Amino acid sequence: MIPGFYSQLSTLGRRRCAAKLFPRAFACLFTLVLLCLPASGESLLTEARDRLANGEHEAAAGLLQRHMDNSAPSAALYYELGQAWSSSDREAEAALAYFRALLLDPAFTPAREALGAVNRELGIPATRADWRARLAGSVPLDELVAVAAVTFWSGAALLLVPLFQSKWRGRFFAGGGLLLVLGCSVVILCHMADPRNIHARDVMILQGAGSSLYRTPTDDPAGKITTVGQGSVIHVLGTSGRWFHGELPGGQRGWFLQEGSSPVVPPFQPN
Amino acid sequence: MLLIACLFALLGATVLQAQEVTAGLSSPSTTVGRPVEIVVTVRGVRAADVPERIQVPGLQIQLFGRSTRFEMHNLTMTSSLTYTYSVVAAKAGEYEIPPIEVRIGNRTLRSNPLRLDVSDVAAPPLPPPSISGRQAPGGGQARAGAGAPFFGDLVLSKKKAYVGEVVPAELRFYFKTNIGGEVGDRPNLAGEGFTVQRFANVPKREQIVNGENYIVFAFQTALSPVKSGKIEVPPASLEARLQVPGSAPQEFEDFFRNFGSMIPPGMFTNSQDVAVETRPVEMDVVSLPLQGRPDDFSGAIGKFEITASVSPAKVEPGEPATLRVVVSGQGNFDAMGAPVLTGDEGWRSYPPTGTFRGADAINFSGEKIYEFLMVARSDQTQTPGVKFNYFDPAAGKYVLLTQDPLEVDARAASSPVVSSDSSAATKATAAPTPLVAVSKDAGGAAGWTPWIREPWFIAANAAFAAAWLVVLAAGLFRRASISPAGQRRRRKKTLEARFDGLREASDTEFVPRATEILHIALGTVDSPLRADSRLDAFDQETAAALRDLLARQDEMKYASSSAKPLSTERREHISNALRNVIV
Repeated sequence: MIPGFYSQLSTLGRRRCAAKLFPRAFACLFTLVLLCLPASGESLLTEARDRLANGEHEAAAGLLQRHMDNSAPSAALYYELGQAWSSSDREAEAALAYFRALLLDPAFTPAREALGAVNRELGIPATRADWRARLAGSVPLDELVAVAAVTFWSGAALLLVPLFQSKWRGRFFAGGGLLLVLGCSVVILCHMADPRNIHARDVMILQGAGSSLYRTPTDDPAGKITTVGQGSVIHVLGTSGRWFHGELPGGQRGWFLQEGSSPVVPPFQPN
Repeated sequence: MLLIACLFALLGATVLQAQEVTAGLSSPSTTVGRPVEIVVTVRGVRAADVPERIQVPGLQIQLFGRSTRFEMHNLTMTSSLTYTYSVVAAKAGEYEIPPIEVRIGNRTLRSNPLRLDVSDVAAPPLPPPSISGRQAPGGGQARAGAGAPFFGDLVLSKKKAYVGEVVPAELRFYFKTNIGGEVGDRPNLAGEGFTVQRFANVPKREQIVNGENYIVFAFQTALSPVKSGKIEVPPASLEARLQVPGSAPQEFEDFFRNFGSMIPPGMFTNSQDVAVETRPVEMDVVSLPLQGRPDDFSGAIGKFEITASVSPAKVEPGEPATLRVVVSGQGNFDAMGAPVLTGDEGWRSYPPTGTFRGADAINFSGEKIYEFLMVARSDQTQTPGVKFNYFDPAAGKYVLLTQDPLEVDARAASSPVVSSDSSAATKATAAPTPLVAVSKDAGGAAGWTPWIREPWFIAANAAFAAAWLVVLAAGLFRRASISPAGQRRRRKKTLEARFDGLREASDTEFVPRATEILHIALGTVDSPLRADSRLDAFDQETAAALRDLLARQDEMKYASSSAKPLSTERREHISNALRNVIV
């Protein structure tokens, strides 16, 4: 379009006109893109929900997945995706979607209950809630980190006050130190309790037959330890070629093939 | 005198050395009729009484060897007594050998208790330690045949094993008692087709082999085959630097021959780096049989028992109960899976946690504790049952262990769980309603990266840190400037600047400016009359010159006629006096 404009301009006025036209054309295009992108995303979501309502669950799941590939992750959308997969008899994919919903929002009780139900169908026992899960489920960790950072810097600021005035120097030191330690401790606790950190190196077995766990990274039947069922979550310790070295929730370690497993946190990058 | 002091120090070190008794088995398991050894080491004493026999039903334990060793390390003499018992089992079973009582004077010390597992597998008797040629890559090479100065031996508790089975083994390295030197911390053993557990040291002991006295360094470990077929366990090696008896240089031999005597034996030794190796051992490994293999086979191979308990016995509605299942025995605790719950439809169970408590140094014996956290779905009076499948290599078949349900009073939560999630304005029920639409703007994080790792969060905190450092620097600078030392520095700098300008002052300006400098230096700007008294602190000449300056200033101030200009020498005199005050 712009080269077409160029060709119609006279040689003498080409440079001046181009200088005026190019920013305008660029602004128009940018506005169009801005207007079109959300509309496309929203339309995908609307269409997915329409299909869900019509009982086309698998198609709806595909559309939801496409929508989520181009938008910020949302616990609610993962929950909807899990419902769509669950209605399509794809329990493992549903479990993964519910699991991801819980990673984003550990207090999302419907997703927790749905994951428990799917896991029961898959024969996977529900995960045990330790102090980290309880903390993550009771407070929004990101917001708590922000508050802790403010507390930390407030403490740091109070520590500076005695440099500029001598009155109540001890109180400022004590208060500042207390806030500093408190903020720092809360940040560390949040980091330890965040399920996105805890499960950053976890994968879920999706293939129907499950995955075999071996003592060595070879599929020698003699070295087989056990079979890990569909929907199981394994913590990855390392990789070797096509193999993951993983640890089961009970502490058992072994090697399993990467095929048929999916990282529970999408941007997972194995070393 | 110095010699006597050294002797007292030696005596004191010997006396102060702690007395202790330790006992160790040469192998944690054996078969009927095959002897093992208990080595009791008593440290820090020169004489002790031990029982000749130890009474344990089913075991014949008899003392057959004792030795005394003295060692000196850094001027500290240590002595230890070693007693060796032979243990022969008459029947299979698990035996607890009680602490062995050692009487030292009026005191009685007790060793640690021991545990020996005896199986009745008709394994071929172990050959006596063979004495064969050992390569010494570091330089030396031991002689082959009987009477070799050192050799190694690998003792496996069994030669036929199943894939995944844990086979206890002991590596023994024999050194003649007339050889000194140092040995490595642990031997090297690696090969294909098996894995090796960590090594555990056994207290060194003395043993007679083919009529020769040897010191035995032993290491316990366990091998676990990972594939079926014939597996050769290659030689294990232990590095050592030995002081072996050697021949004297020719000059010494000539020297001693001149005196008509032979060189005393043991006077000259040769240092030799050696790698003492065991002989290779072949194992026959077979796969676990597929026939009769249960679907929920736990992967455990060995001999086990299970017990279970539940706590609390009365569970409040919605509260969890813990079912504690203890799997004890001998086998591959590292690789086993958890027991399986049966009849748990009325419970919601969580994956168990597994904790292992070893009963020996190589984690072959012990117990693994699994704790199942369970919440009743409906009112329950019994816990789920427990079953545990394992493979018994002695019997060559799979064994099912079961635990009956235990009594418990557990009540289910009376109402469905209500969502505490304020973001998703939905109420959850125990079974999720399918296709519940939730708002897209529901809560939770909007990204996979926690804020703490987001670049904007890190940048904001870095900005705060930079600002904090700037304010800190400003504060420190301010404190430095208002401190007494800072004020003194500033006043001195001002005085020096004014003093430098005094040289260019005209005759009429000199006296007022010098007086001003003097008042600043003395701190009498606000009370000039005190200047005279403060000059008493200086030497007489300086005080006189400066009093003259003050008098001239008064004269200039109050006299009607103009003062006579100062001579150059007088100006110089006053300047020098002022410098003394400033400095």
